[in-house]
Amino acid sequence: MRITNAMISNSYLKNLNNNLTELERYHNQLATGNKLTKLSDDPIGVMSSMQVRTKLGKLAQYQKNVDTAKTWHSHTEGALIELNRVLQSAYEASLKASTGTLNQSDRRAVAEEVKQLRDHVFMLGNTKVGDKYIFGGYNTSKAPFTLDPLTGTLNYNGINATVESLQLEAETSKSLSFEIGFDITIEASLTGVELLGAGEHNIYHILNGLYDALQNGSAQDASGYIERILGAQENVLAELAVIGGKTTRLDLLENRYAEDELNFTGIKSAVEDTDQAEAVMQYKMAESVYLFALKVGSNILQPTLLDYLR
Amino acid sequence: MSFYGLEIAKSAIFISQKAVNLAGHNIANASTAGYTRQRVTAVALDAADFSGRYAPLQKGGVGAGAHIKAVDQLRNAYIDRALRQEYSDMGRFSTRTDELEYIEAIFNEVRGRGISGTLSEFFDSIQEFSKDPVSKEIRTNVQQNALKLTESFNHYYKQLSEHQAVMNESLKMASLHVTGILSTIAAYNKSIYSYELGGEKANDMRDKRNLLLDELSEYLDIEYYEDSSAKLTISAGGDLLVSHTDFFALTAIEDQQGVVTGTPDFYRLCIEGTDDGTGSPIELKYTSGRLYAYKELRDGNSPTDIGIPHLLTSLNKLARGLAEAFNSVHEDGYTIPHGAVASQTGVRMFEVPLDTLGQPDYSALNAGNFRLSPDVINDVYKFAGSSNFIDNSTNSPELGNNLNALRLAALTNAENMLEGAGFEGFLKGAVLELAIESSRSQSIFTGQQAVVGNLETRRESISGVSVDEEMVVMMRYQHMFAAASRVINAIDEALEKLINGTGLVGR
Repeated sequence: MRITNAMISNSYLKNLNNNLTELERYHNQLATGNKLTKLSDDPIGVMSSMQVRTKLGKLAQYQKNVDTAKTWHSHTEGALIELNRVLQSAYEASLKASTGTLNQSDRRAVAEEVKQLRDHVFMLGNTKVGDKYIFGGYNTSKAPFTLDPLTGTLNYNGINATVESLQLEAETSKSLSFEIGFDITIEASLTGVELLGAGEHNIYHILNGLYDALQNGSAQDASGYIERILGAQENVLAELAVIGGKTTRLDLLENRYAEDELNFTGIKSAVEDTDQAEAVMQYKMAESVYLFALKVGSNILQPTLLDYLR
Repeated sequence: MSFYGLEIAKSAIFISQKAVNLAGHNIANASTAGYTRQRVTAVALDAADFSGRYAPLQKGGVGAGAHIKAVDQLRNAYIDRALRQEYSDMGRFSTRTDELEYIEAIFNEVRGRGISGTLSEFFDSIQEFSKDPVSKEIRTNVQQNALKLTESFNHYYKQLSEHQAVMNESLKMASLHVTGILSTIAAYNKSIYSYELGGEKANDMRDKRNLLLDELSEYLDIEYYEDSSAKLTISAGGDLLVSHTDFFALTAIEDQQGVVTGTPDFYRLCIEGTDDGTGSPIELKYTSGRLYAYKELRDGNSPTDIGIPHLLTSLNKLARGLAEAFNSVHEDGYTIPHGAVASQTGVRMFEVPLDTLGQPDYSALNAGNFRLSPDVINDVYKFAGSSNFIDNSTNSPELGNNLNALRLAALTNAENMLEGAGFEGFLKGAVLELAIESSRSQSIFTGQQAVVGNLETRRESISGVSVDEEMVVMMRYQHMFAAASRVINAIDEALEKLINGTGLVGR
């Protein structure tokens, strides 16, 4: 092929430009730390980075949700443990009062203790996390448990909690839940009905009855409550087991999310971030090629036949 | 002895002078764009023909020297033709690549800064909302993130529409430029034709015309043909653009309906001064070149023909899908009472345009008018997170009811929302389409550059000026000049001898 001066300088320019493009690319990668600057650099890479980014965003959100759920659960668990202790004390008190060795005034002293326990139960039912009542179901803004000012009976969300009713039953379904994973929701806590029991099984109601019996009744009256307290304790322990199970589940999820986060961050970094060592190597190579090209350029572009004619 | 030899030497002197001049011309144009190197084509003059009646008796007639037959260009018309076909595709993909890269930059999706970022922030705030449907801060957060989402949709819509308008204007501008080229070519046709009537080749004018043909073929795919009487015809899709000294201007008629929105009418390129049989001018037929790149970016509205309308369609679908899905869940829920405002249901999250009967019309919703409803803009308590009516006057208002908020949150993960994908999946699909198309266009462009580069090298190899070669040519003719001078010298001396040194006998 016939080679002309223009061909040499054209191809020289074209190659020099290619070298500079390479140089610029690696320089950019090194300076920004990003492997990708625009979508078309690597469409599939950008896609997996978007995918991973979405996953990471979701993970962060679910981690937050799990965190909130754990807070609610630990408060619920605390309340249940507290209730168990109250019931234990109430059991001991009722046992002591029913032995028959205690006289009326002794029983009244025990009654005072039971009254404290009863009020503590009332307080537990109105536990707050932040500014929210956690045992009120959807009702988070007003104390779920109230005492009827006239009769003194316990109301849950305005419904008499000491008598089993359909309305009360319906309240159990109004429990708050959180989304803690893709299509996974978890109940945030218990409703007041589940916590304290309904009707005859209501802990407050039982303790209130015990208090009345100790205050005014015989040792026989007090002994009637032992069974009921034990029954209530059984319920509380069962709820505690459920909550414990759920907390374990949340812990597992938390661990899994932490691992996933690590994995996805790794994938994201592999797609998006510059491999410094490789980029430096490539940069150095591009640089030396560029320098060689410049050197060659000064040699091939300069001379013509003119230089050698007299 | 005659002066015959002097004439021969004179012809040699003339040729060598002309050739050295031409070498100078070639060197002067060594880096002129479109210049084709020229060569003197000299032919030997035959010996005088003395045949017939007055034929001399002696044998061995000497030729009469040489004369310049023509100054020729060294050019391969087939490479020109091949190049011009490739120039059209290169023009198309060069423009397309540039424009798609610009659109990519608009989307700015690398490292999650684009629309997908605002979408996931909005989704996150909905999740937070589902955990605490009462808090004013969280509701405000939902509102602000939703605003950011709708605003970024509006922004992208505006940017893309504006760029579509730019493509439309570019098409018109390019057509004006093409008209300019056509008129210049027609003018050159006239000059070349009249110059060449005298038998000379109009080399340098042809170079300029060739350069214009190169440029023209970057804009659209043309056919051209030069007939035996050197009359050039250019046509596009079978319709004449240049017929020897006449040309047909392109005209941009503003009557083409936009593909996606009720945008003003777009330009349609027609050939002025023609008639398609109905009294209107013939529409220009082109399938490649810069013109086509502008047109396909302006009009392309399918996955196989990706242009701005296709991207707008995707954005519109997403905006519409989001509005429809979120509204339908949101309308089911109840807002929380606040001050004198009671709990409400049927509140929309996103605004929906109304049709002529005052009914909501989701088909009129697009990324450009995607907005939050005035209800939730004015009052964050209008986000409906509850599944039941909330009455603050009761003992147990269901303020914490988050069932509807959970349903809203479920939408963020739901698959099968749009064309079998979730919202984020759909957006990713649309962005991927753009990325792949842009990368495809880049690789076609690179391939095309290689093809054109190869052909241009071949053309340069034939037509380009080599300074070294010109120097050699110059030396050759320099020697020829010197030698011819010597011949004159020799004959001169011979004549001198003959005239002044002889004939003294008997004086």
